[in-house]
Amino acid sequence: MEIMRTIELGKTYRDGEKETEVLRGINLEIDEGEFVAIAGPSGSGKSTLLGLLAGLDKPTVGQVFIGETEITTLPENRLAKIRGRMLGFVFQSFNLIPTLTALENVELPLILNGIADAKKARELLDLVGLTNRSRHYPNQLSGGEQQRVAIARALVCDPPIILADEPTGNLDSKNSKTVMDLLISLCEEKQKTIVLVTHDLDFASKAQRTVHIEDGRIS
Amino acid sequence: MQLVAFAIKTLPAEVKSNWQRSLIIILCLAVGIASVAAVKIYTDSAISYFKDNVKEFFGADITIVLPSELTNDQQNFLDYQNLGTLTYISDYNQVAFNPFNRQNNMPVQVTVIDPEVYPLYGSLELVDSSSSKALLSETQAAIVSASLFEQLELKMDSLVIVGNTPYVIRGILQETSVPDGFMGRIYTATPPQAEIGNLGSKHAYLKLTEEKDIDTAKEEIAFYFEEETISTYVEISSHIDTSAKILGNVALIASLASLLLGGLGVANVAQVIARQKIKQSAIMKCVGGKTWQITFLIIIQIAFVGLIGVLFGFALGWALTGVLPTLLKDIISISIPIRPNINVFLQVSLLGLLVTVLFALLPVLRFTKIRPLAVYRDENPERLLSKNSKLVTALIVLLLAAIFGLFIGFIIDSPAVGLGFAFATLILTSIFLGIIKLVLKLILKLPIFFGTSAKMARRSLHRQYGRTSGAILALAFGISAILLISFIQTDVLNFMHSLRDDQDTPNIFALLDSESGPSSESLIEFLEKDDRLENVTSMKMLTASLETVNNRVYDASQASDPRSSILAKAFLIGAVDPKNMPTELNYTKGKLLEQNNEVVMEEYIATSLGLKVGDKIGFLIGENLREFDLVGFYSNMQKGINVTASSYATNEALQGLNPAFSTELLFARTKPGIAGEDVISTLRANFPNLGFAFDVGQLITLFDTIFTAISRFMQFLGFFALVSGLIILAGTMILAKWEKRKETALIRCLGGTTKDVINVQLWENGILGVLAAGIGIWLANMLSMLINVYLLEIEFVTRPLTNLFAFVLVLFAVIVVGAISLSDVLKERPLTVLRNE
Ligand SMILES: Nc1ncnc2c1ncn2[C@@H]1O[C@H](COP(=O)(O)OP(=O)(O)OP(=O)(O)O)[C@@H](O)[C@H]1O
Ligand SMILES: [Mg+2]
Repeated sequence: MEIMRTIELGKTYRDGEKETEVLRGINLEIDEGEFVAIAGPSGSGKSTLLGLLAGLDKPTVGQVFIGETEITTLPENRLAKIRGRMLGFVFQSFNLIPTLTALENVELPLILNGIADAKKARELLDLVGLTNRSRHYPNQLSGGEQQRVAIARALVCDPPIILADEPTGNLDSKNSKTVMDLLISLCEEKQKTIVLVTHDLDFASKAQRTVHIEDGRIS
Repeated sequence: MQLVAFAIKTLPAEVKSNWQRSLIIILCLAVGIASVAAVKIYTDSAISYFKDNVKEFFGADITIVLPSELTNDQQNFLDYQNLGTLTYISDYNQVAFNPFNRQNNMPVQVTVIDPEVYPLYGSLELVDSSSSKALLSETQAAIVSASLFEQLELKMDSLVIVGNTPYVIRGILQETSVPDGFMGRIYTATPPQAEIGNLGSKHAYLKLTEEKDIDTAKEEIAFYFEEETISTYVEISSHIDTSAKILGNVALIASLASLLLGGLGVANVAQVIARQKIKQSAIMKCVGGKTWQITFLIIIQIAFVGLIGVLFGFALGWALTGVLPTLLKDIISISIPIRPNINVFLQVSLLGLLVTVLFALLPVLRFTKIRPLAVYRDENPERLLSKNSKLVTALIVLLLAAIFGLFIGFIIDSPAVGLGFAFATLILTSIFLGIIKLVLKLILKLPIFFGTSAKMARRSLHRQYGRTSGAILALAFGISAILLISFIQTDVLNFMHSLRDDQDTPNIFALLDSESGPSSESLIEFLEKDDRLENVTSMKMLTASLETVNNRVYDASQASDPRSSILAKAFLIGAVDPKNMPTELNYTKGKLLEQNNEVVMEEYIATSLGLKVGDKIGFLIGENLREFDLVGFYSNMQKGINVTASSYATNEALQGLNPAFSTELLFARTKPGIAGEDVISTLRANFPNLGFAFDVGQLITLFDTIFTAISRFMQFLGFFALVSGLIILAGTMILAKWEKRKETALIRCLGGTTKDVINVQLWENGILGVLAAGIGIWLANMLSMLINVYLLEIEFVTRPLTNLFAFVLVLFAVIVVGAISLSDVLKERPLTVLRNE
């Protein structure tokens, strides 16, 4: 059963006269519960693709489906709802909100999506092993800890899909391993669909399938 | 709701990380709210004080003005009424004399009461708090007002002569009410001897028994007495309410200025806070947040900070109500107990919150409309802002203005005025902000920026001119309000003084009562002998009513002015000798009065009645209808204070008529340097039965006092606007501090000294100061000129020194505020700054 699908997806950035074609003719199908890695050199368009999959940006041509829904034509507020219910994000640069504590950062999606489940956030902090860091602010946490908070945040609304853009990019090898193990266990134990962007082939090899991107095409 | 709880929970950390910005919001609002709260608390306390004590002020539940002769029915009714306690009060207008120096005198109102029952409510408050009842039971005993006691240099337990009746002073009244002006008061149980002076009026005061209802009581009385002669404390209370509310609302609207300026400051801060949160907004969108939720979160947090400012402002305003009585003491001498009630508190707080939210909404919305893609951009996320359409922005602004207007309308009980105020403010502010931006742009283009410091200052101003223009507007507004009020005040007072000192206009007027007073011949003879005077003349005035115009019955309903039906019935025609007019008339239309069949009329009155030069008009004077040609209009307006008739005809034309009422008006002019007051004292000393006499100088002194007190009050409010301006300015500078730091570090790294850094700042703040002062002073002068020329019709004088002084003051204030808000930048080492980047 596929949960994400793209048809002839293409993206061209237009900056005044200058046009850069970043992605073209991407046809990708991702099954429910699958762990897919997207690999490729820097500048190949991995992040752009991930952004299109999540509806953060609009494609120039082509379509993106999440489940049965075609998201490319949806208005921003419907997209926000879909992001809230279906997708969890993990970024390279953690992107935690500095004035919120770890716990509050994890609570935020619950509140924005109107989910009244006060215990959920704490459960997820337990899951990522940060039970006693809940009252710390991001600047009081190590990089690895911050990324685990970010993962907890991505999971808190219980979305079926996790999109991770180089989640280990800013981490040392030990922390990277912790994060990777966490993602793998999510796929194996909780049947989450995971889309991992990385240029580390070592990590990519741990996925069930690796999609290589070069010059904006699947190679 | 969850969102609100979350916003509150995370507020402390937010405020901590943004404490400078929070502080600016708090200060901006506190100053504005303080001025609104002070005015609102004071006026509301005053209204409730008057209303609570209305029976004490009024003295009864119901009063009846009694006719000079009571009918038998009326007398019977009063004698056998069972409504409650009844007492009679008679007022006599008299002159009081110091027994040893008749020259020392003053007009008084003598109130004859029954000390056993008067006052029905409260008590006569005496300075030594003894009981008026005991004091007045003795015959010829009197209680006098403090102003009379002082002015006549009277002594306790000694005599004062009223008319020619001696009274023994047994008590002094505490001055608790509005100052007497130039009229003293005496309370006594012994009536003055009747043949001198005149009986002003006689009243019945009634205090109802518990079970009597005020309306039925009034109905019962109305069966015997004319409706207009009966008044109840309820009516008085509602009169007080209406007029006090109008005054209070005017003051409130004036005080709103600084709150709205504070709103500009809030908008500045909100914009900076939201811009700083762009990335966070994008993150929130990635986890499912919608634009309105994110906007709501930020606005709630700003509103909570605003609330702190509001509370602080309310407390400050409450404290300031202690200052208001000092400012207003010359017109309101009663000390009003200040009682801020929960209602005022709620209204003011809501107003503050509303201003915060309304002013923060658009700037915040601009940045929360970020596209979620911005999570990928660490630099320049602003490129991903979706542009608001101009139309939508305009509509939002109009909607916000309407909400604000309706709320103000709700507070002042008049939605139309509230909305009008909101939209007028919106339009004016936009115009002025536009002008300021334009002027700033133009200044930045001028070829005056030589040297590196100047050029850097220009760049920095260019970067943030949107934000600084708010500060400039606020400053300019504050200084112009203060200047304008002082200009108008001095111009008007100078004009008044010039009238008083103009040797061609009479400054002493006496209205003679033809029946009991001295004859005009004897008075004129007396005055002509007085070498302090010149130009003594008199004029007979007759009452008449306008009956026909061009041979048709005059129809008041066609006239423009609703009061014209009353005006038409109450004409005062002056009988004059056209070759020797008592006052020079200022003709505006038609020709001078010459012939016996002619009449001239005051222009304002004539036009409100719908009359034209050339009309044939018929006056009913006594029993006779006389026809006149209306040949000219004159205006009293430019002449200022001038007791004249509403029309003039010749002596001969008016001879032999018996009007319902006629009086003789006496004019005189004192020689330069002589006080009119003294002459009037002499007159009174020699003619104790002189009717009504006054001196223009005294009137002007009274006017001076009232006008000065009001100006002082308005300037006080203007001062708040100025402070708001300075706070917004400091805020703007602190908001841009980070950029300033970088710039300073750069200057230092390029080998610049502290002097260079200071130079850049001087240039920058200098230009802002010049602009604010320039615009403010220009505005004040322009408005003052327009008001003088078109409204007051008095001369406008430029005041280079005052303007220069204000200019220097504002410039100085701006530079000092700038220096203070950026002082820590100067101390920083360049390396720390650049490394932090
Ligand atoms: N807004 C934009 N305008 C123009 N070009 C852009 C824009 N955003 C991205 N690009 C270009 O698109 C290409 C792909 O960028 P993208 O961020 O997807 O690469 P990436 O594969 O994620 O690289 P990395 O591994 O370094 O993260 C790059 O060449 C980049 O310069
Ligand atoms: Mg990337």
